[in-house]
Amino acid sequence: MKGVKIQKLTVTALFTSLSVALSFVEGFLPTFAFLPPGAKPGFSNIIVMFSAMSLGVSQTLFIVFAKAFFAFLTRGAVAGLMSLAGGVLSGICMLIVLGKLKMTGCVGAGVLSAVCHNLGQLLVSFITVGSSAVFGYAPVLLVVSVVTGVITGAILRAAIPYFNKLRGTEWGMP
Amino acid sequence: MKKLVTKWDIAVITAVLLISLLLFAFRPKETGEKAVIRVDGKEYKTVDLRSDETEEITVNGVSVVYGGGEIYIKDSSCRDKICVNAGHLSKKGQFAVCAPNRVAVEIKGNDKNAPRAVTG
Repeated sequence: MKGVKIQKLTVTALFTSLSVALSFVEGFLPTFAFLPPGAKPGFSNIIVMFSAMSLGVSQTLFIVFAKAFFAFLTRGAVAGLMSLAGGVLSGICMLIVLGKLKMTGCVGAGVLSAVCHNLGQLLVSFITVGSSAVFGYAPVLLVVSVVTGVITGAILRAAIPYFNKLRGTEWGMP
Repeated sequence: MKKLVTKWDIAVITAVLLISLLLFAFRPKETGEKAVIRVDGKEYKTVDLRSDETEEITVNGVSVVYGGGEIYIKDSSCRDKICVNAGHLSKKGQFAVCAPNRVAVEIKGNDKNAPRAVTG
């Protein structure tokens, strides 16, 4: 059992750095023509989703907190808060949807993850800006969430075999 | 391993698109005559958009231009310029937000007591 514990710790560390690296690299991408300003594909959600389906509650939340801390260090307090709110909301949602219920496939989970992430960020901008007008942006964000969620979900589906190889199968397959 | 798209996936996508359509359908459409500029969540200034001459004010590194029925953020010291890309605003409920500088511009509804036109 000790071996599994150490392996989980190592994989969590690996996934944490992967998600931070993905969210950092994402910042260099040019804004896509079909996306409104500020929208991002959310590739690090892939890591959080896989963590939710294979690692566990504390590990997934650790990845989310580490990512928010990184955003806080590199992009400031508001960005850190947005990352935290979006990450915690979508992390919990993924733990329920992928970890417990297991009804949706990767695509549906990706969409839900993106929606929750945007919802958390909208809440933070509502609090920091102090105007309910930010919710006027919600319909656009929801449509964007569907697009980016389908993309990240499809990538997750394709990446699962490789992730499994990476982490070993000692504590069960997702 | 499940199929790429299950019926639950389709249900989720349909629900999200439906909600966004509903939110879009019930968005406010009236044109506004006033705009509120907020800094740190607190009201900084309410401006009248009806004058023909445009005026410019700068708060927290964000320069806001208003007049001629519209308001827009001309320039901002922030990195990503989301507020500038929000473009020219003229309808009630439209807004531009600069989160890094904590400045928000929002169009308010018409003041019911203000005279729309003065007849001789």
